[in-house]
Amino acid sequence: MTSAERVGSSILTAAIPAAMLICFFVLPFSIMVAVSFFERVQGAFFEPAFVLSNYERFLSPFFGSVLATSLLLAAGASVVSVAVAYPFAWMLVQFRRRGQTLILVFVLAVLSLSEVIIGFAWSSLLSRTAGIGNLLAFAGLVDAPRSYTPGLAALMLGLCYLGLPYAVLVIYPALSRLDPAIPEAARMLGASPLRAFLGTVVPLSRNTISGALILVFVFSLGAYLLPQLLGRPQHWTLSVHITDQAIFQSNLPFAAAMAVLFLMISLLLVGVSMLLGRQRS
Amino acid sequence: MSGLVVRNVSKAFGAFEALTGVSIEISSGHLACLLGPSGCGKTTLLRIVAGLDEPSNGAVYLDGQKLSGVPAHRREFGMVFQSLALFPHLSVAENIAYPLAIRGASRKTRASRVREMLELVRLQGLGKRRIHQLSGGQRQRVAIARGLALKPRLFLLDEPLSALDAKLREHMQVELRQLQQRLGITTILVTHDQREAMTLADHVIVMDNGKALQSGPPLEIYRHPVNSFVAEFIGRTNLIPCRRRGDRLIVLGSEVHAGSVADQTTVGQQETVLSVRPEHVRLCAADKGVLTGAITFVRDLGSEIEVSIAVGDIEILSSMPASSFGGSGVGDRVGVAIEFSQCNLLSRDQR
Repeated sequence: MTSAERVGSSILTAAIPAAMLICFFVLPFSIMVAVSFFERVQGAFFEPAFVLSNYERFLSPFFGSVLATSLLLAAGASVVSVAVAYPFAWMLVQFRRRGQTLILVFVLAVLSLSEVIIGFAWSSLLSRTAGIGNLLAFAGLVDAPRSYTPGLAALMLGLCYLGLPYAVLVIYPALSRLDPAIPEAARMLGASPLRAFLGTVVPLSRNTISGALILVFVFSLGAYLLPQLLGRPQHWTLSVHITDQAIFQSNLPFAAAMAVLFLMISLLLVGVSMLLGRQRS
Repeated sequence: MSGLVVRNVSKAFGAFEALTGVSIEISSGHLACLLGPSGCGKTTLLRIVAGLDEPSNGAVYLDGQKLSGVPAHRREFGMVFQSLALFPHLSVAENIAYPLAIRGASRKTRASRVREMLELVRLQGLGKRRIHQLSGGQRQRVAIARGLALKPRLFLLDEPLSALDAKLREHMQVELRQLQQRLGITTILVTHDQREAMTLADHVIVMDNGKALQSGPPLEIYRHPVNSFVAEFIGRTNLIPCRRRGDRLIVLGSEVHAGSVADQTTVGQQETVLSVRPEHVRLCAADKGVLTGAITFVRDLGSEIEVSIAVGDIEILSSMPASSFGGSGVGDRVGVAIEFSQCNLLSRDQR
């Protein structure tokens, strides 16, 4: 191979991912940014213009509280998912190899279910007529079955159910790579098993924990079906409103403006948390 | 008895028996080596002594106190793991001070103890370093210092030197031995390296297949191994099958007076094995030796020369100082003289 050919082939290898990035990310995103400045035409679609009214409309108490709800819900879901996934992954690592694989397959099988199926499944599980309320009443724990959905608890449950496999997926490999002698060494030095765990395993997987938190946070931000299926209207996230504007109100420019702002704010939050994480380590 | 007593300890993992009825005694202040090939159960035994695993049967006593039910973190033992298990998120000083921090020692006590320990392992001034900034030998020393920081009742080491290169390993062996003798801490070291065991130990316990085969001072085991496995594992040896006929011994077709062999643990058995250390095999003129053979290989190590001689279908290894080597070469027929008074008759290996 001549050097010219080598340069040519290396350009080709770089060109394929670059082309994909442009086709599937840069172009759609640019179109969305452009549309967010277009003007909506009542009764029709939209026409090219440069107006800031779409962004101005967002700066209202109503959308401010929607944004806060979205961020808080996602943050809550990511904290709860990681809080459950971390001890779960640690216990999983203590099992024998075969058992580990079997349980992992079950956990990850949840990933093959769509958000729609999960949402409807939980809404019937939490309902008054067919749900777990009947089991509780049968066991004598409550007087009569009641519905647990819609509500904040139901919505959080659904979001955590979605987020948990991702958290396990991030945390499990890191914990299984950890030298099992390290917590044992802490025990030999006088730390109780719990203290050894908190003093060695947890600090050593700090980066993994923040990675899992960010992943589930970002993932939960995008959920737009679960808030409608399991939440009340006050729990509707920005994603729900974007869908609503884009599909039902035919106001694509406003939906695009919200999406752009939402993306900026999420990126900012993730960037800040990564920066903080790097400074501490 | 003061010191460590392991009484009839067994350990099964499912159907696999890692230890079967192991009993050992280690006097206080001694350094004992658990020696054996990999998978012989020596690490399992160490972990049971440490309290990291519970025995299926039997018990461990330290200075007369039964240790069953005492969890690892209350035993006050120091341990150095094979992987060292240093804490990468802490500095060298924080690693060493960890057991003191756990017990709520003041900042001042910790600092002075850390200084003392760093001096002991000759790492003065490295307290602020991170673990990944240290060389292999330095990490080794930090692990030892951390294990000793609390003046442990018992010091346990699980193949701590196996990751080091040969030269550094020999150096650390000597250093570890000197440190242990200076502090007088009862120590158990697990190793598969018989040279390491001979260098360090007051007491060697040879293990195989989950059993303690022989225990005693290293030289005694070297001179009087109880069976052919121990003879081969501790040092090198020639195992020559032989047969007893009255008070005569037939060694590869030559007759010897059986009484001339020092170790007679197998009296009454017909089929036995004669264990002859290479240094007890001499070369002589072809018609003068007990056996005759042809030289197949000469390994000249400078200070020492090793000669392999084929006698019948058996290869006999002889080693001698370079000064007493006559200069024979491969293919020469030579006589083989054996110092029977230094040899051992052992039962045929039943493994």
